Amino acid sequence: MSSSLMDSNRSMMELPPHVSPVWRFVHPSSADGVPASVRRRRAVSRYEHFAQEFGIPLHFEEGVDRLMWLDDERSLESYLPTDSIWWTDRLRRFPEDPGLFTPPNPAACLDRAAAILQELGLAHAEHELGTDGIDISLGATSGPVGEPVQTALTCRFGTELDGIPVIGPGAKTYLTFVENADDLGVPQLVELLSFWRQVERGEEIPLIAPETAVAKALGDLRFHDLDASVPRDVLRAMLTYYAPGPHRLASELKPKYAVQIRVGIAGETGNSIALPRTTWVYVDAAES
Amino acid sequence: MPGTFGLIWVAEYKGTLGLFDVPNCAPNAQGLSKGLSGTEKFNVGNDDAQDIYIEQHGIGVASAGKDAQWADTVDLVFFSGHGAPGGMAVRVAGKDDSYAKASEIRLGDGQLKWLVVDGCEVLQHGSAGGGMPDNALARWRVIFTGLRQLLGFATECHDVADRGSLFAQHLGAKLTMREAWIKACMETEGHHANVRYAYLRAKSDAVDTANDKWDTATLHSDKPSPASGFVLGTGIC
Repeated sequence: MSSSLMDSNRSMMELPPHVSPVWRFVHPSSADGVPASVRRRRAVSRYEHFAQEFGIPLHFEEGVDRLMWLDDERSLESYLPTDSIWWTDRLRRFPEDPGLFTPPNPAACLDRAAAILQELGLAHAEHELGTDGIDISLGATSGPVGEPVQTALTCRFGTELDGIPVIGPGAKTYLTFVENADDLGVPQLVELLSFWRQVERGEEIPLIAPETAVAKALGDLRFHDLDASVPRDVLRAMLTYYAPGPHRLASELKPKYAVQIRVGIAGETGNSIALPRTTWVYVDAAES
Repeated sequence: MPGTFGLIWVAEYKGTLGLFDVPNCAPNAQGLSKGLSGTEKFNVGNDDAQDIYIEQHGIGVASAGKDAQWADTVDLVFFSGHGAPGGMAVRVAGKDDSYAKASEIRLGDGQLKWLVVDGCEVLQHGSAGGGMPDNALARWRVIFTGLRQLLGFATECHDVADRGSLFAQHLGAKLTMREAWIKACMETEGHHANVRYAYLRAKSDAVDTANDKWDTATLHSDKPSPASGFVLGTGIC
């Protein structure tokens, strides 16, 4: 085990929780006895609520895993397997001309985002994760390339359960803003996605130790064919709940250790291309 | 009408060159194969996948490129496997040099319009080695000899089984190419890894590629070549 793991996760390594609850989804998949019709009714209700909020027609197309409406200007999706929603202003979400856009102020965006989440009742997205830019670079067929220019800003929110972060594609809320051309200083929302499943507390289960999780991660099948001389270094290990994507059926959130491992291959192959060096391994934290 | 497409994927690197396996690349590619309308012209994986299927003949030190018989005979190519700033790792040493490098790729002089690289870092600003530029746009614009868009990542990404099927689903819903890719990326990446999607598209005075769609793939016969410029866009997944 690398020293970096001990340094960056000392509190977790010294005081790991011994038990953690399972969180069951309030409206789980049909595989768990809830008819698809119930999930569909909830998706319709959610679609109608957000359609009214965003001024979108109440009718929709039936997709494989979602109810969806779109025209050239906007789209709205309500997912069938989860309590997730995605609205996009298709005209303004993909700005590409840096000369036309001023990046919105991050603090103003975060304030506006928090207010919108409250207005829309998305209370689960209470953990602020910060902001990230949508960046555009322009270049000709040769010669210098312009530096990336931020044309929009995404505010990110997540959720914690008992202080443990919920990670994975099925647990995030993003709001993206551009500067409002008609009202400078007031960020204009151009996209809102909220991927989530409502949960209720289940039984507590004993957990394996972090050291055991790290050992399991290092022994993951994907590394089996690597030569023993190829170094593997643990960069991070954290106890999480892992949520599959919003389009996926699932019945509960179980604790998992997320372990980030660097495989030391750069510069060792004699080849001119530096290849990816890190990967995440998700280890079931429940003691079996 | 939808067009033609080809799949090149590698799930089992078997430790070659220090590469760990990415087992989800196989179901990921097959998800696109099953979900995308149109005609699949090739679907090669693991031992059958070669870098020369993407590379131009006569370019580079290992110059055995055969894109004229493979990648440049379809409208869309989807690659799923290890990527890096300079290119894609396509299997084992001994077949050409096993890397499809930006410096050896020229696409669109045949039929190809869209190249999707579902692998890490291809559009990342950073050291690519081999004398290639560090800037992603400068590094990859050389491959556009009629190609309309390159879709990929500006960071490392997860090895997932369902991005290909989601991408196909979104193309079928008549979203634009870059919208479909961005959506598929955002639905398959968590916030904790700070993964960034990326696209690079060409434009010319006569051809705008911003609103390319798969359901009208066969109509996009006009090429943005010579290109008047390029747009590189990135955002958080």
